[in-house]
Amino acid sequence: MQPSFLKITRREGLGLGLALLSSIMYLSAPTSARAEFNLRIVQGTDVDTLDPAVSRSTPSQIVFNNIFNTLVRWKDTKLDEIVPDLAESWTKSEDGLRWTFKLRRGVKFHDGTPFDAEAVKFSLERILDPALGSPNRSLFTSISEVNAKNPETVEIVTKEPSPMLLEVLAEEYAGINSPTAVKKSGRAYARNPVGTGPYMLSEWVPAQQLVIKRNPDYAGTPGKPDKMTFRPVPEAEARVIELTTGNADIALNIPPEATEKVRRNAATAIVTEPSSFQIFFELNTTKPPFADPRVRLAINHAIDRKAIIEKILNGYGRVPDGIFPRGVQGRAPGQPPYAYDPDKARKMIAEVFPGGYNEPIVIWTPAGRYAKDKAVAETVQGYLNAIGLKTEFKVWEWATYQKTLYRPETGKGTGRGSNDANMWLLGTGVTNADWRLRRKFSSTDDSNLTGYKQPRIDELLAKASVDMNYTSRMQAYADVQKIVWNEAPNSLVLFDQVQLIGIAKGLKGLEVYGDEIIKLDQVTKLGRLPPSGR
Amino acid sequence: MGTYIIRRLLTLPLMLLGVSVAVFIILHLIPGDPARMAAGPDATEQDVAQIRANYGLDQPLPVQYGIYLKKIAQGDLGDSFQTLAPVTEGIARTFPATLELTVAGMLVALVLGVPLGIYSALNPRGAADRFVTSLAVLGISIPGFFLGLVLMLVFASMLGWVPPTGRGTWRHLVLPALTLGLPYVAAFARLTRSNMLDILSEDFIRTARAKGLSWTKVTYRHAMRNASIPIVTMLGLDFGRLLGGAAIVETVFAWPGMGRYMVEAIMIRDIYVIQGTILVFALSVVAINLFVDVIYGIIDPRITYS
Repeated sequence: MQPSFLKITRREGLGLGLALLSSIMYLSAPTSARAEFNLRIVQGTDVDTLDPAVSRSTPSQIVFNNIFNTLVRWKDTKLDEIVPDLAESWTKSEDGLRWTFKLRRGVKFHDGTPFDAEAVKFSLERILDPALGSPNRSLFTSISEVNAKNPETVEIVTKEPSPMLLEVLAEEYAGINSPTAVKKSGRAYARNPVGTGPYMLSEWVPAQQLVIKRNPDYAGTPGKPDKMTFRPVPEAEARVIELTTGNADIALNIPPEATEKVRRNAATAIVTEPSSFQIFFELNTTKPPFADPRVRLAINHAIDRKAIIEKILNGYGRVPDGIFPRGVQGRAPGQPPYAYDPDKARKMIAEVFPGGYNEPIVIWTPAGRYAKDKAVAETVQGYLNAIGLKTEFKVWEWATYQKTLYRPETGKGTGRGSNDANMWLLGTGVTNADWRLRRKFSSTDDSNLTGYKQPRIDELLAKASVDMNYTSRMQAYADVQKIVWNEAPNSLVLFDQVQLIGIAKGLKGLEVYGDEIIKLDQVTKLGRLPPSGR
Repeated sequence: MGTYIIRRLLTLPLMLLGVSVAVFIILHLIPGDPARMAAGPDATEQDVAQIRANYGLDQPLPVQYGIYLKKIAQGDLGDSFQTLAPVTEGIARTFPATLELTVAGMLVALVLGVPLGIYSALNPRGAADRFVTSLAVLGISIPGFFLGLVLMLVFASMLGWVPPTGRGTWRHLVLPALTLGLPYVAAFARLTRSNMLDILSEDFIRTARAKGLSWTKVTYRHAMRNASIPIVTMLGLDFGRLLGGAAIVETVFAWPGMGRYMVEAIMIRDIYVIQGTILVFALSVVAINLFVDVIYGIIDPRITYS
């Protein structure tokens, strides 16, 4: 006979089992019932499409970078080394025309479709198809064939040796899509993206909110946040309030005048990062006075950039030391900044126009497109008047401005100094060295608005465009940067922007690129108390 | 009444045709190249030309209008350049939000304005009367975006009673509705007041009082009902203005409505979105005015349309 204390009735047994079970559940609770980490981001503009192939806006790219992988990617924000992503390794043929990529095995799209060479072929051919109407298509036109050799090997053939191929494949537009999903969704694919990335789309109500959740089967380093919620809040002041009230963890594009409020709040901070955006006046090199490079150099000495940054931009800007700010690939560092020396500027102009230049210089500026654009342009006008130049000033609305700059008049062709102004304010944030230079300085490029033509520059750019050696190619770009800075500019360089991002204190792991792209998947949040019942 | 409504409905397509022609002409008169805006500042000319061709923007204007009209007849308002999604989808998504906001703003104006007007009519030159007058000046002179930011600063940031922006619960609606409705409170109050004062001095009110009706009955049954006709008229007229004002309020409060949809489209010359939203705005104003005409007949059976 058993001692009675060991007797366990059926009912007691059930109770005991439940107790045991619940204590096990309790022990495992810290992982399963841990507060969900929802990273909340407010952006100034709404996401327009989640189809990488047709995208062109930064807010969209910040989101879908989490959903998609590319074959290769930049290692970090320095943009000096390309590393494997979906491709494990690659080789190129002797003549530089054939690239063979070995793909990672065992990767699956969010919809279960296996990732393979066919998916790569499908995605690249899709962006090349004129019927898709991708605004990014011309980046890819050097590709003539994509062959799926076997499921793990893809071969890309280019029309001519194409040193930029890897850089093109690292662009977010080259994200690899699930062929099954694209075929299934058709035109609605932009709202139902399927990639291989660390996050997948959970919910998207346009203009309201977009939620992505962690992909449990991600093949790489898993994302840290359980989910991310992106909300478009157009008004900058409202974004700041979202952040300071604890309704958002990250507020992008904080205007300089709103930084104080974020800084003063005990729970929030401002992150200041270099930006690849530079603001400048382009100078029409096809007619006087700026046809002469000496005059273009001269007015670069007429401007007090420090004063512009301090007085107009609340100190948030950098005096440029070259045409490439930090965050641009192949930056040739440390060109001497143009000294503010109005006397020197006056003398240099007098060398070219001994009797003075008496025609008015036509200045154009957009209003509201770049930080304080109109105020900056007016100040520049003042500096030019101060060295004895006559000026005419015109302010444009952005859409009209762009059209006028690019298509001045039907039949007159595009760009290349064919508009009526002598100088016009623009900015660029392109991080790719080749595109940034070619668009602005190649005499045959449609986007060269200044009509700039320098045989030496054309030659350097042409040589670089087929140079398969990365180091010597970057050297050529550095040479271009030096020549246009010291001898023959086509711009009156104003300032390099800085990026201002508001964050909740304790947030770590933000990876900020010069062109305002931000990687969020490794962000962690520590030490923040839950908002008090608000 | 029935034939009147039918006649009004029959003129509707003609009116919309007029609106569509006007919008189309204005859109093509204002400079700016939709294809370039769609392609983005970093696109090449080649890409821009491709987009221009894809959307038929390289066709002569009358042809473009013809194609547009044919599409409208099939219930297709075209696709957005920006999102590539159909405009009808965008309108279906954003219009309910705008309607919700506009109706809420109207309610704010009515619920605060009319009682305030009645009160100051019954107590002329009192404190309420002076309050309404100063409120009217404020309502006219404070821009909507400023009022919105001040309300947000006080009630969302300092007091934390409501969320600053977004849409979801009724608490999200409070600030945008107040911002939209408050400037109209004084206008409604003053209109109510002057009409009430006029009617309170009429003979039939004296008769009603003389025959011993209670104060409440005289004020609400007899005076208010007669004073409400101009209020309903103003409601109809202001509805259009509120719809327009919603564009600013929606931007400040990140409210996902049609006004913001339209404003963002104008910035980037997203022409099909602009055309589509303006058509729907025009249609709503026509509809609300027709509705107001019908309401007249219900409030005051003496009004007939022949």
